[in-house]
Amino acid sequence: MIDAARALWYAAGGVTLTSALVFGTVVHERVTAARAHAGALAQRVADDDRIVARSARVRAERAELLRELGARPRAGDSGAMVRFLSDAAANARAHRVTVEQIDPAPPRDPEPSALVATPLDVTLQGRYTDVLHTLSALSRGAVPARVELETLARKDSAPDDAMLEAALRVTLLTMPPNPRRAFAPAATTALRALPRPALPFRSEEPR
Amino acid sequence: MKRMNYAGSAFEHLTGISLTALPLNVRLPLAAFGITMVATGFCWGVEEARIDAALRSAEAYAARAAALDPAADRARAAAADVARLRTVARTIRDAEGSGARSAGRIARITGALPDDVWLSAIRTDKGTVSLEGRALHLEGVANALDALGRLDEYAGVRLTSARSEARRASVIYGLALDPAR
Repeated sequence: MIDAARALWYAAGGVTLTSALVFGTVVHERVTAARAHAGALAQRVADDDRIVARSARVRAERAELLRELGARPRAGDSGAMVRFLSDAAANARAHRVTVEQIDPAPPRDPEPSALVATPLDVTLQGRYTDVLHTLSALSRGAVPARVELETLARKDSAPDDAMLEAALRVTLLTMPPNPRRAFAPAATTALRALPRPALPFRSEEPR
Repeated sequence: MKRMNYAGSAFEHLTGISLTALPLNVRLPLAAFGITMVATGFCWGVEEARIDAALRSAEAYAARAAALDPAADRARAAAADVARLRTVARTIRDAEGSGARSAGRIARITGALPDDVWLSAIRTDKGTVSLEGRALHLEGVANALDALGRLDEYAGVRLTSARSEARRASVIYGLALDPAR
């Protein structure tokens, strides 16, 4: 039998060890979780504050971009092709180049930006400098166009013939019929709940 | 003469427990046990207070976040719109410069060729540029390889063919420029 004094020493030691164990695990975990919860919410509030503070500037930029892009030619409008052909003819005339052929071409890659792409195979004929100037001018017309040179070769095999034939892939880029809906849905449609960043707790988490 | 203290201690007065009634060898372990219990209780209280404070502050943040959420959601949606619109505007600007870039590439290639080397055709395919032409001598083809190899926008230049043409006393060559990665 152990005496009362020894039992008390053991009890004091036991309480100390148990406390250390409980504080080191359970209590520490609760404190850490509570602080992480508060920290995540503080971060969310800081993010919200920051984004709300600059929302006026963002909305102004959206309006400006919509105005700028809305003025561009739209898909499904024959006017876009008319304007491109008129520009091509004017450029060819200005640079003394002949537009030999323009054919619709099959698309190669899907357009990543949701713009409507109309690919064309274009053949030009002219002198070296004139062809290069036309190449440069074709992409900067009223209808934005991506111009890629595929071949540039002497028209005939005669080495002294300075006439060149250029085969180009021209991709006309037009706006979808409703650019506002396609590119800025939040400016037109009712706002649905956006996904929120996940939090470790809900605000009504019981303590 | 032995002096006697007949007045009771404050502890005895408060608790009704007479320490003097306890054996001497029990008093110290009992005190240690008591101190351990008090210290544990104190630490527990402190930790609970810290947890409470953290949760109270979390509740305050949650209330503020709930108030800010609708405006923040609208602002986020507008920011997403702006990101999409900027991509579209960038794509259009990039396309508008594509003709000038193509012309510039061709001009740099032809400008790099030595005087005794002529081009008869340039072909492009997925960034690789193939050149075909004619040179007065094989040295001209070597000089063209050397000059084109110094263009920064290509990873390198390869000779794809070279054959002499006796009828015209010249060399017909083929070169390929590989795009830089």
